[in-house]
Amino acid sequence: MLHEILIQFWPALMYGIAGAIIFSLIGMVSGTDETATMVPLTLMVIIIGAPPAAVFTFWMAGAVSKHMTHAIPTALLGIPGDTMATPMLEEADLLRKLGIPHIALKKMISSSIISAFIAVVAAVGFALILAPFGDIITKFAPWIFLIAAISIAYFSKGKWASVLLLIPFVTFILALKAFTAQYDTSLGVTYFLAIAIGPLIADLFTVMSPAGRKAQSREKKNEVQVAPDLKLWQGYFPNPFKILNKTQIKFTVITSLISSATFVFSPVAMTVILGEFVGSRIKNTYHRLTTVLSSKNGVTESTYIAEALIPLIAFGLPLSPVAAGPAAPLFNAPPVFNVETAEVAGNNLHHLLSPMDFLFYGLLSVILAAIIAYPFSMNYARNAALFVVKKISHEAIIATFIGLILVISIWEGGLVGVFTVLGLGLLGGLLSKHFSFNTGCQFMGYYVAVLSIPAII
Amino acid sequence: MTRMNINMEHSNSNLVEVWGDTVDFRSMLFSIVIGSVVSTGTFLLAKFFMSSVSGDATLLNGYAMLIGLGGCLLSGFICSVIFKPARIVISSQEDNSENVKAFIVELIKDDSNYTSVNDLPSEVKTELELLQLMSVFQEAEVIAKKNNN
Repeated sequence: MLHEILIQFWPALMYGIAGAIIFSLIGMVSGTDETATMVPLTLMVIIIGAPPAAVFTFWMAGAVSKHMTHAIPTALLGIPGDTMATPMLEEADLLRKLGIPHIALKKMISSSIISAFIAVVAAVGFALILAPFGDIITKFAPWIFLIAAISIAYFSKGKWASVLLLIPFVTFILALKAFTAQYDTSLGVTYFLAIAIGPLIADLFTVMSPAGRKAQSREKKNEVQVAPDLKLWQGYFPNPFKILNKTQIKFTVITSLISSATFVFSPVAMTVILGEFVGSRIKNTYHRLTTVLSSKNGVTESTYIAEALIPLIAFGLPLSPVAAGPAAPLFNAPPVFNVETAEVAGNNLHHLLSPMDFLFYGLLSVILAAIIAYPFSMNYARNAALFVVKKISHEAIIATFIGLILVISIWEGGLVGVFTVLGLGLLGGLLSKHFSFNTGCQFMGYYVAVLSIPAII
Repeated sequence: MTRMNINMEHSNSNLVEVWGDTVDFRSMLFSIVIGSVVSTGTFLLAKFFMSSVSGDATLLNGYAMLIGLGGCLLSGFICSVIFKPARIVISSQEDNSENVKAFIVELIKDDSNYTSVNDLPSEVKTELELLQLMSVFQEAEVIAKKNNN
């Protein structure tokens, strides 16, 4: 068994290092949605033929690293690094006003690395407990997807609107499938990309219209305040157990364990709930803010890991908000990976890797993030944040992503692909903007269209 | 002078919010054109050259796509050179312990469960000392108490 694990070790190590570096950098570009960045890049890695363990390590090292560096804009600039960072803005903002955002940042990142180690081990354990039920779950998968889609939609900000929006959205995807079939084209990645980058497409259409441009027009440039920094340790590698105090370590461990088990809930919701739990137990303001913040960032890390790992190991079906969103390609990336349907046997990381593989490469990913992202964000946070806001224009980011959706859709389906990306991206983006029918709901809608509808109707 | 004002007004009215950040509308249009042309151009050229090479068609098409992705990065690089970010960056490093003190007084006022920094575990106290915040907190606590009475 050790031999089988090690055979993929070198490619996994290389892809893992690449993932950690790339997503450490992306994490600092504030406002980048994790689905919009993780999905396309992971799809690339899969399509160019990386072995399963390498795909997993790339994703995992990337996810863990991104959740460390997303704390940089959150703490130092007061802009959420991504949607997962939004529940931490309140405490981060208060600590900025106390003049110590660097402490906020260091505590956040340190708890994040501790949480990541705990979550990998705990998630594999929980997955093994749930695995015996895997066959039953697979058998009823079309129904489970329908129920999961409804519940993920209900727990999104759109509530009942999101649930009902599943109907037109699923219909639209079925219509697109029929449309592409007319031209003998079967698209896979294009749908995912369209959903992931939909908000950008919708915004672009909006500002093209004079009326929409007026609504989106801004009087002045975005103001970004970069807070000071302070180094509290010697050498390059900080020790997370010294950055956090005993109370903070205790709460980080407890909340990571709890959030590793609750893999079906939204990570943002878990972050808020467990943050409240910790906050109600500490009285002094300074101590409470720093402890809540460190626990919260730990929770963003651990729910993320557990929500990807548990469904991946136990079921091979994307049955959690993260699995349906940022981790979606690990389950379904046609033509390489696919989930099990009535006609086709499943073939994705669940089938290709054993639980031991997941544990081994999961820990490898966290170690890579600990070596690459952790000291980097602890040492160079301020300079990195300054570089990003001063040098990288949003125009450049838009150009890159426009190029990305065009290349991928043309590659997969020519003009039919481009039409699909524009149509679905526009619809999805508008639904997400105006009804809070977020990308997670939309990915679930996609699964309902391809898995539930053909089996049920 | 008037002309300059008009120009400035004109350039300011061009700012729009797209995908979570402000951009200049015209430079955004240019960057969309650059992004589309450079990326798809690179991809289609690569595809054209690959078609003259013998081998597995799917694999060669995949390589062309990879080269096209290189084109995406290239277009991003070009745009970051041409267009400067539409952000105002304020970097602060100055001492403002008076403001901080006033802010802590506010925090204590709003927090009915507040307990003094003197009752904190010793390692948290050391941390506050290191941040030069211990005395600021203590002074703020005194002020808050006075305000209460």
